[in-house]
Amino acid sequence: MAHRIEQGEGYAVVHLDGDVDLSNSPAARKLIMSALQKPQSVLVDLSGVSYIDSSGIANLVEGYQLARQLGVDFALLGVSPAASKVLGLARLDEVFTQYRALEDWLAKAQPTDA
Amino acid sequence: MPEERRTARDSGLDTERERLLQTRFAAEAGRLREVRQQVMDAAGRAGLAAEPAAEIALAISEACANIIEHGYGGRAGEAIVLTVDREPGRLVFVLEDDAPRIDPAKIVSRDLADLRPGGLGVRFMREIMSEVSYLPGPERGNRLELVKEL
Repeated sequence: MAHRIEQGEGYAVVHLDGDVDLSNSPAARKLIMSALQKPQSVLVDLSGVSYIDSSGIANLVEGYQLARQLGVDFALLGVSPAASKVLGLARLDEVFTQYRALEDWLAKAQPTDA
Repeated sequence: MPEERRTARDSGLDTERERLLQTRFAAEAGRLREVRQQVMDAAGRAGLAAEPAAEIALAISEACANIIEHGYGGRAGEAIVLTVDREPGRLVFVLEDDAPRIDPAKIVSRDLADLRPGGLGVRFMREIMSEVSYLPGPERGNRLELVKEL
């Protein structure tokens, strides 16, 4: 498995997979940045992340900052325990908006009237 | 006295110290995963639980990534030597490289309030380990010592 993008309507989910380190974080960065080229919300799914290092965290920070400049939503989905630990270590766990799953983000971003 | 101690260590007579790992590997990002596993195994042999062992593996992996990226500038064909020793009350990790000597004063650890990429790896190393010391290698290169008090 590798990192990949899933395109939705008005949003894209970047799925990061396995160990995110210097060997593949440039590929992850490319996906996040390319998703931000379109006027859409970008969600980074970390549920499949077994390890993430500072280069991977740096990609998230860069994506978050670009999204803020562009005025689009940027959030993390399903943050795995391994990723959560490192976000905490970087004291960034409060910076990113986090959702358990895409459905939770959809419910908040595109509420449907009952 | 320090001389005697060194001699005892070199001859392996120092019972206060146990070598848990010595490995030489290509300075390539693709090797980091395997190195992390070796560090976790060594920390496990020293009696550490999975979570602290994984934290130490992160610190060592960040140190290796910095050597690969900044020390060797991503050049192929270079190597890193990692040794892990158990001493009373602590684990000592040493990373040796042949990269141009670094000036420890130029190593930046990012302030956590400063939200931007870069310098985070050094921050992790300092956060996780008890001591981080950058020393020049014996003749050339660099020697990075990371100590984890147990």
